[in-house]
Amino acid sequence: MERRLRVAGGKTLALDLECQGDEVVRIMVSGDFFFYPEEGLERLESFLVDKKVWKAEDPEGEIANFLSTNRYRAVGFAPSDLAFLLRGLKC
Amino acid sequence: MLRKRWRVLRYEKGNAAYNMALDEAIAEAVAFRVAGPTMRFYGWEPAAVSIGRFQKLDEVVDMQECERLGVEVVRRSTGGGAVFHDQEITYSVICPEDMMPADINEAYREIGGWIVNALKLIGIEGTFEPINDVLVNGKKISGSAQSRRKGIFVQHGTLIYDLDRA
Repeated sequence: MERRLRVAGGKTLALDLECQGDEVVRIMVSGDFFFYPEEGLERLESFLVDKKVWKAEDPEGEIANFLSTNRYRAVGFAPSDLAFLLRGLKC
Repeated sequence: MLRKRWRVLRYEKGNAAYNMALDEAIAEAVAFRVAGPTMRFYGWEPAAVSIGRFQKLDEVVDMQECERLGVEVVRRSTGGGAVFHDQEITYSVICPEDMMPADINEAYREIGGWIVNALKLIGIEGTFEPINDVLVNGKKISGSAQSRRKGIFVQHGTLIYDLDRA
């Protein structure tokens, strides 16, 4: 399953879900954005699944906090864009 | 900002895999301190499409059409979008991260400024357009993409000088 968003500024942000039954077991984030350091994106993907961020009260805040705590920087999308794609996520 | 002596690798053409592999090798050599900060200029033969590190190949490239046209396809180590490389000069700037501004946008501005200055030397008035473009007469002629890994800064960029629309 894929969700896709054209972000303000023209970049594309996409989510691919891998499900086992009703459970989301993997989320892959792709697009033409920049992410620093690059290897941090995989950690962000794991964080989204481990914390089931789409069920959180404030997904945007959770994502923003994760990025700032780890000193990761996304250029081309904002935490709110990712939170938007995660809304109501289910397999 | 330039505190060390730069090595300049003069323009040469290579195929897509070679071009990206050489940049990777240089980055590794800089990381292991067996090479100094390096600027490399190169072209693509045959023409090629490079895609960004986080892009999905099947979504952004028509592989069948590329194969039919003899256009090679390669993934960059840097983020950003798909780029068609043909009649352009490509550059890479590879150096220890601490030689560049810590702020990503400032680093783009720094290297964008080098390009604007170089264009001025040949009588072309260019402007840097944040985040990472250089414009001439309001149109983009140069884009770039940056990565920072294991203390090494890599910026790829293009400078288009012609376009074969056929």
